Amino acid sequence: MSDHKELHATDAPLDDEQLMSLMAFADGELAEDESASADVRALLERSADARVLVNDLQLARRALHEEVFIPTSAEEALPELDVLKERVLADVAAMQLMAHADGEAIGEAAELDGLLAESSEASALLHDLNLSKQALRAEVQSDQTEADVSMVRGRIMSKLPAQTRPPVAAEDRSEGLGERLRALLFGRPGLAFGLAAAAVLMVLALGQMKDRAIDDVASPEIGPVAEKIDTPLPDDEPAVIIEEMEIDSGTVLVDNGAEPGAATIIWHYSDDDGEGAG
Amino acid sequence: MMKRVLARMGATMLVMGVAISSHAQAPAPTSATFSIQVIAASKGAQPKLDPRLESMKKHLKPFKGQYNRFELLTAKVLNLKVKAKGGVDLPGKRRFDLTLLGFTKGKVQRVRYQVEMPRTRMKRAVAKGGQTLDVIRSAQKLIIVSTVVR
Repeated sequence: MSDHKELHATDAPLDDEQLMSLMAFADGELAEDESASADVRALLERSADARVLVNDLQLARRALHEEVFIPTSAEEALPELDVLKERVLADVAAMQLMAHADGEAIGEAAELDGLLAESSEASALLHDLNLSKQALRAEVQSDQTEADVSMVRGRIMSKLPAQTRPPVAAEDRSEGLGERLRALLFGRPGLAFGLAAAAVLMVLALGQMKDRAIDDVASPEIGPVAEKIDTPLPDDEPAVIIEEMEIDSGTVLVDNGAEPGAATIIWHYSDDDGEGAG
Repeated sequence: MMKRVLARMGATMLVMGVAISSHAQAPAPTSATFSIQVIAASKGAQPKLDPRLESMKKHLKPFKGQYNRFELLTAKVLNLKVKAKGGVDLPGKRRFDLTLLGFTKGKVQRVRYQVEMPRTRMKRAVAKGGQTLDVIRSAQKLIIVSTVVR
């Protein structure tokens, strides 16, 4: 631990006011304030921490504007976190903590043990990392499990007569990864700055997502039938699943179509149709 | 030293925040859009395809053995919130109604909805872009209700 202190002795710790100035600078809010910009530039010249922080903030800002990869699922986020970890966390001690969270051993074990023993913040940080990874892995697992169950359920239900079918399951799960991770990550006093910054960006990201969602639903147009599947489905995934049927009378036949991308045809034959509809 | 570590962790958490928020938002829509077309298929001396159905030609192929005239009767876009219901009138004082039930999660997100037609109720889970054609007989015509989840 003492070696680290000597290694970074020239770096003065950043106070709250400096952190706020750096965040404003990274967000481009000081562009018209020459005096404040000059102060931040001076700080950037003398402080490696300040440079790293601004770099990281700008990286996150770029991510928000989709200039870099943004994971859309926990499955994608896991490897991305590993990449971010390498890119952002060059610091020896942080690398050790991350490696320890991964079950690896990098550097001197005694030094890491010392860091953990001396600092409750370091221990809390390691704990958070482990929980975050577990939550992400659990999310990936639950996504896969649910997909399989949904498929199987749909196939089975479509083959059962109405009287023997079990009741339909409840609607969407209410708790997602976001809620779980937020519950895990918040409430750590030692990470106040990081979490506050994350919260600010989450609000920005949520707003951006909301705007996109509104755009998506605000432009329905009536016109010729456009029957394309927007995102190609995996080979083993049908576009349409009939989960449940209740038929008072007559017969229903479901034809999934032989060609990929074909519409699913559902023939409704009524008892008084005589020869049938087809 | 810890200050330095924490400052860097802050940036990591911040980027994670972006990832988490994007993940948390993507699979939680509250509404879905359905494009519904009601088509009448009949037999006639001369074949006819409503020009508005041009892009649907390939999906009408299975009906062309017995029917050669296809006319678009109704086109409607429904934007439904969860538990909301909407639909279209069908010939013969019949209705085709949809109720949005929710969304599935997983590898492919599907829109779950209920279809109510005379004598039939169905619950379906359909991926974005997925299309169903509900076919019922009305006098000498076939009524084809095309539903595309957008």
